Amino acid sequence: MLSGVQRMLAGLVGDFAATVILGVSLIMGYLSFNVLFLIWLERKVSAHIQRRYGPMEVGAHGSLQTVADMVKLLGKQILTPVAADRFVYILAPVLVFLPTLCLASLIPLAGAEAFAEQPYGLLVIIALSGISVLAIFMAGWASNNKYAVLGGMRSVAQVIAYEIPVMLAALSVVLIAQSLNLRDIVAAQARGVPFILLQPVAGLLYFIGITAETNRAPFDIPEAESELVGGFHTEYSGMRFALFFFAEYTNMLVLGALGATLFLGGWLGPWLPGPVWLLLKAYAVIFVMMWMRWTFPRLRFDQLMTFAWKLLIPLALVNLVVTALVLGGGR
Amino acid sequence: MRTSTEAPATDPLDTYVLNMGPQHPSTHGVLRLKLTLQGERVLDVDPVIGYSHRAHEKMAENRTYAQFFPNTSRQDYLSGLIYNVAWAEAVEKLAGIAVPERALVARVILSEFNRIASHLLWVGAFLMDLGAATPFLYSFDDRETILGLLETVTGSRLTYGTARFGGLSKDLDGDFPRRARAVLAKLRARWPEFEGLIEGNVIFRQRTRGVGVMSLAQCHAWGVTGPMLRASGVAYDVRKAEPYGAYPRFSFDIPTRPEGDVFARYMVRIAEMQQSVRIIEQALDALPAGPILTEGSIGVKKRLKPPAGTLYYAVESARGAYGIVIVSEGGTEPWRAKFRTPSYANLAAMQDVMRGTMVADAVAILGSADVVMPEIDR
Amino acid sequence: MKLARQVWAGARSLLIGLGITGRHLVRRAVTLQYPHEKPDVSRWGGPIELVTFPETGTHDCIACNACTRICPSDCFTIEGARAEGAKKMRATKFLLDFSTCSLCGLCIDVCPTDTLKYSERFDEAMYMRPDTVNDLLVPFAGERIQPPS
Repeated sequence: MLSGVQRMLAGLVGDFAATVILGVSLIMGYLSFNVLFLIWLERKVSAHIQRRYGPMEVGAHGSLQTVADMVKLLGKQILTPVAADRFVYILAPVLVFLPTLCLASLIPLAGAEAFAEQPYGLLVIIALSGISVLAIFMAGWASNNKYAVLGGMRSVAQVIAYEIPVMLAALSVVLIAQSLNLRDIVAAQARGVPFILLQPVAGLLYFIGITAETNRAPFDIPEAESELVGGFHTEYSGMRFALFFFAEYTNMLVLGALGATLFLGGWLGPWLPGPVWLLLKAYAVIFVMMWMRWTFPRLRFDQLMTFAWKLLIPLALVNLVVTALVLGGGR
Repeated sequence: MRTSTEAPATDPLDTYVLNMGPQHPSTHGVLRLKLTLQGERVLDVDPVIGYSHRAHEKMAENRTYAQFFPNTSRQDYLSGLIYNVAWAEAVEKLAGIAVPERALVARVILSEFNRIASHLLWVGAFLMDLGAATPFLYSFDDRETILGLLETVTGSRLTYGTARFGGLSKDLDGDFPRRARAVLAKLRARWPEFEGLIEGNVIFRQRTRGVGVMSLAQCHAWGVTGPMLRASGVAYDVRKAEPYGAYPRFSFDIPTRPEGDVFARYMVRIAEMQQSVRIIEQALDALPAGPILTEGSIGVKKRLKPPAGTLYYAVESARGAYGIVIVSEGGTEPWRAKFRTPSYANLAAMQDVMRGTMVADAVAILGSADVVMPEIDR
Repeated sequence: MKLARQVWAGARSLLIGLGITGRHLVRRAVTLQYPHEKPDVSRWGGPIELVTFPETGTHDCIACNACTRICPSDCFTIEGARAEGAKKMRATKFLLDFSTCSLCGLCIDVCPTDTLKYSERFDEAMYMRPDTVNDLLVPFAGERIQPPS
């Protein structure tokens, strides 16, 4: 059915344009649905952990509650601080969101197709996730608010520190799969076992890393009532504020899907279609992240940085070296 | 107005004042803290109080002794029953009114339930300050059972009007011991959960151990009482130091810890809840039959005129030593009533403790003080 | 190595915590879904109302104003009259300002005819301030001033 639509579009606007239009609309459409779903899931998971029900009134078991909240948010007055750097201020939420969108197109959904395939897919992904760091700082700086700048700086430091274990964990997987192409990595798991069994330490490091990168508890100092003041999004209200959270939930999905691809076997699985398996595994990763959020208190910022630099990164390096030695010794 | 003797000795251009305003995400009540910060370090703390001042002490001068009962619960709404009973006991001592045995034991049971409920709320709010939202819901689940139990006895959940001079206005019904024991069983099932979820948690320990240490000298200087004092090593509890009511009949320990940090205060309050459970069990076993209120409707149908004199009466509330001073000139209304509330001294001590700490710890330290603003402002 | 043991102990504590919340995740909720389910208020001490005695089918307020005098918050406005040939007065107007009432129960204790009690009402929200004044004689509206026999 999909290829039929694609052929029809190609007839109208040409092959390349058809792929682009189809890809962007499918991805944006699904990501919008994903955000609604994840917000609902978060509220339900937190509610049941706390022995209550969560949203129940709007829609069956509160399924339409997020829609109602979005409508309310759309109606809110959008305030722009007078002394804010206007262009940067408006650009920042968009720029936080764009790299995630690009990442979404790079993750292979099923054996034959990723929306945009790259021979060095993993490298491109890691490079793109660095851009959102800039955007967070832009948001904090452009707000012209002492505390937003502080929050932005902390966010940047946190993301940079935790991206390194993510990269090193992904590299350990690359060593085993002998390729930076995500499809090859999944194919290697199809031949053998999911890499989580071969690289449990890397899997754990990756998971902790993406929890910190998406600003989830216990690493949510930048976005929680940040002890006393709000974080980099203090001065954002209404739909712009929503865009930051759109970006956060999308990031969770994309990084979760990446983790599923690297460690849990991507689209592999019996009798359900490939993309469904990928999404199931990604949502399982996200579910664990939500479970953690409602269980643990927050880490203090200096403890957070100590944890990354003094524990996770050495552990990731050791894991990489041991993997390399084991693989080299087997030759 | 500040009373601290240490002034910040740094370049004024290097410091800035951060206002933790009267409106708070945390549940401390209306408190304003003016923090002078240098980077991440707190140089000075200036609490501004008075936002909930409602002139309780002045109201006491214009109401008869019995008419003051509603005010008592509203001073510290989390230890409302303890304060209610304390006023009754203070006036009973002043006027020489006898209290039947059943009422004495019932007062102990209800007060200890109130203490557990207050500590449960503190556990929830404190963990929420640290970022864990879930223990709040678990402790409130237990608090609901306690409040429901107290509702069946007194008719109220938070602010009680149940004490009278010479006992309690409503009796405990025959089924009460069974219901109370069911609540205690549910509480006992909760302790291991708190231990696994909170006390053993490495993140919680890292946020609270060694943070906000209060030395013994500081406790003495500021007049700190209650769990904060006991967490700094002093085994002082008004129920043992100046025994009142039926407390001398029951055996219980005073939990203390030597460290004096936030973690110690948490452990002390958990241990206090367990000791309260112990007291309630003994009291339920020892609950005698008999009247719940001395005959004569003292203070209600017959106005009370205590003899002239001054009385100081202290009880142990959930926050520390609560003292009532009544000056009577023989009339139907007190000449003067003064209330020494524990949170006042505890908050004042925070000025000293929070100096020199990191701003990230400030919230944890303030939370560990378990301060209730309405009783500070009265 | 000491560090490895510390890390393992820390990780174990986190897993125990997850286990506890995980157990709660799959258990039934303990909350009451309010508008659809109502709580048990049989022991709740709600806004004050007049007792309907079974023997007479009506209240026994003699408008003595003992409750007015003892109320710490001046909630009561009571007027009474004596019917022709009756021995006792009876209330003709009985207003209680619930916005100042603190449910202390002193009025219930002082009443010489025990004609006041707590009700079981709890959802008494209203839109206008004057609506907070409860007229306790409303359930007895059809009555003329007749003393109990």
